[in-house]
Amino acid sequence: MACCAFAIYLVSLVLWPLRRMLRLGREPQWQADPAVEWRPGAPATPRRPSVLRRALQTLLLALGGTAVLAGTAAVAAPQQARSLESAIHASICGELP
Amino acid sequence: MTAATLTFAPERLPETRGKTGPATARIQRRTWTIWLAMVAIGALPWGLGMAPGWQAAGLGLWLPGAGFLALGGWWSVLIVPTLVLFLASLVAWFWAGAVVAPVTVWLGAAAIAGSLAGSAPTWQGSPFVAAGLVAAVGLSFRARNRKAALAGAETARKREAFLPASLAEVSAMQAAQPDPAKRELTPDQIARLRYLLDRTLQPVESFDGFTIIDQFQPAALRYQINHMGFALAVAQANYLPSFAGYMRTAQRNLIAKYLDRRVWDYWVLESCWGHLNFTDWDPAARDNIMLTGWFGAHVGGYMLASGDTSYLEPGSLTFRLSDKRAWPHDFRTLIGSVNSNYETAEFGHYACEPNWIYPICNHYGMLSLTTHDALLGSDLVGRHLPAWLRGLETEFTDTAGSTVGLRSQYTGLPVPFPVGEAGYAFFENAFLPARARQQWAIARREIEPLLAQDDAGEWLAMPGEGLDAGNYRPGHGGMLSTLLVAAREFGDTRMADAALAALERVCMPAIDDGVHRYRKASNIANATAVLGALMETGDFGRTFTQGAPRTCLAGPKIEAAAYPDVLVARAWSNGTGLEAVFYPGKGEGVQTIPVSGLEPGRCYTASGAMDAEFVASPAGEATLRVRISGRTELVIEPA
Repeated sequence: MACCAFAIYLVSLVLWPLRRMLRLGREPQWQADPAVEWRPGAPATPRRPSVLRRALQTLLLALGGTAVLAGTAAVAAPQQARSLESAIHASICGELP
Repeated sequence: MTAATLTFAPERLPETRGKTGPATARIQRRTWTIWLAMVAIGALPWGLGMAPGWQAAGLGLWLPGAGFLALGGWWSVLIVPTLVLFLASLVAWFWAGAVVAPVTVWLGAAAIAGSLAGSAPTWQGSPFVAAGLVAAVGLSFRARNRKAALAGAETARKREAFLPASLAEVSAMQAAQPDPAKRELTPDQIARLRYLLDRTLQPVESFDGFTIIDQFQPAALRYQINHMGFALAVAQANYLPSFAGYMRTAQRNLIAKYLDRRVWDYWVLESCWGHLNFTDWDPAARDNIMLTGWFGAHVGGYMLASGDTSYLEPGSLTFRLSDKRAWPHDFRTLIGSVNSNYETAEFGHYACEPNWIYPICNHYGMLSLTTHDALLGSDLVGRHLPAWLRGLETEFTDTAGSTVGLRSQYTGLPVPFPVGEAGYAFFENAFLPARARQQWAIARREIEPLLAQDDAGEWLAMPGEGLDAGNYRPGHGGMLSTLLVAAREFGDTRMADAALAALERVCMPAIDDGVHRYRKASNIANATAVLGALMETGDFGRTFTQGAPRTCLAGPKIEAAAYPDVLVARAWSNGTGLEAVFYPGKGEGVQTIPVSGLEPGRCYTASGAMDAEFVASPAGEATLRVRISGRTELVIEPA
């Protein structure tokens, strides 16, 4: 967890001004975490990605996904390209079913 | 233990602290050489009076976006969004190992500036402005580094002053190690353990109750799975070594979940944009210690705790991407990847994401080697620990004596954020106990000012709103649960109680249907808190170096118990008999308890069962009926 903590710390430093701006000076409000609230038998509550998270995902896609897809289309076999595209959707774009 | 052969003086900080290690120095020299070459190449079009497009592109090599300065006028303003985009690309590089991102932005901006230049003359003042900007950035970093170095030196001075006394306190205050034959989960601990069991006993393909945000950084499923596995292994090895049943199912389910491609196929992307490898995405080959090290320790810990060695079988840990693409692995090949990467690790440590070397992930890596040695009698720790420790002290120690959080393998540049000593301490207790004690001696002394007291007792008053790395939300759950684990490992009852009290105060504890959770903490923070709540002195290190007692693995064992109807609080064998404690999970009643590992045909007494005597089957099995009402003991002994 320690690496995780500072990884997030770094990103939070970069995003801190934006977070503060979006919060408009208000104190952060606690929101229930659907993962922790889950109980057996209850359907998992799908999460709505926040604006910030969507922005980050879009950024990642724009910077990495495009380059990778272009490179893969040129280099790899069609089967690998499909796997790659699927992997991008699973890891960045979509929720796990 | 091989670690004992290393010379390590816990009362002193490394003399190499704050100095540039040989590997770092070499890589940094290469980085500066490449940049100076870019500056020289970028200056050539100006010196040779080449076309404006070449001049703008050349200037763009000096600094991201500097090429736009050459266009003059309002075009020059484009340097600002370029620098912002470059910063974002650095985040992408850091976040997901996207090495191509900053390179693409830097060179792409230079190319765009060059193409926009056309035939109009360039602004002749632009090289001076660009040089000024570069100098300003450089001087600013230099001033910041100097300030940090001075502050670090002062911290180091204080640490060296208090270390001898603090080390003595760590020894004096350490609670005794528990008697392994007497351990029993309390109802509170069972309620906490059930948080994990509820999530791990659901179908393998289901991830309900897991945080799903991204699969790159700390909220990734893989880290949640590993930490849940660590907690279950500690419970298995120390409280329930003679119980298979739902504990085994839960742990095997977790390992099976990990093999789901949705958990590990981030590596496909990172291989492409980090290694430029578009064909072979084997997750247990080059780098990726965040998978091999963590998962290796997890699987190894499970095998040590349960005696189930099925993951030594070839192909038992197969990473299947599609019907046609799969990478068959097992525990040996997983650890083989860690071993081979360490063979060539210039820094003594190697990378998680392509390019980024995290010492903390290398602690998991060394822990995985520890489990391999314990299971198979190898000496991988002895083989790699000297270079690992040398790397830690020479390449990853800042002026304060703290471990540098991460370093870029390709540029040698550090990210100077001090990771807390407590986070490293309990890992090192498994393979480098002298340094582990030093890390905890530093951590506990520096955490001490946070101790607050009122009528309810002491608690850790954490400053600010905190940040839970497991769900990227405000909160102290991640930090407090890590402190709890570290304090428990070193038998520091005062700090452990204070951390637990703080969790109870600020993380919104809740108990529903007999399951305890912290609502204001992420899933991984909850899993870590369960681990800490179960632990006593030395449990973490002992679980990953010894596992379950041999008598328990060889003796009678409870094969099943209906979850959550039957909650097993204790299962212990002296090799011939069996002692167990049950609680009802749903209500009192008669339950069947199958037992294996008995001597075939032998008569046994069963105190606490409805049949006071029974004879084991030719297969050494028996099924007992037990009326479970409150705390219920079952004692099986040869008649």
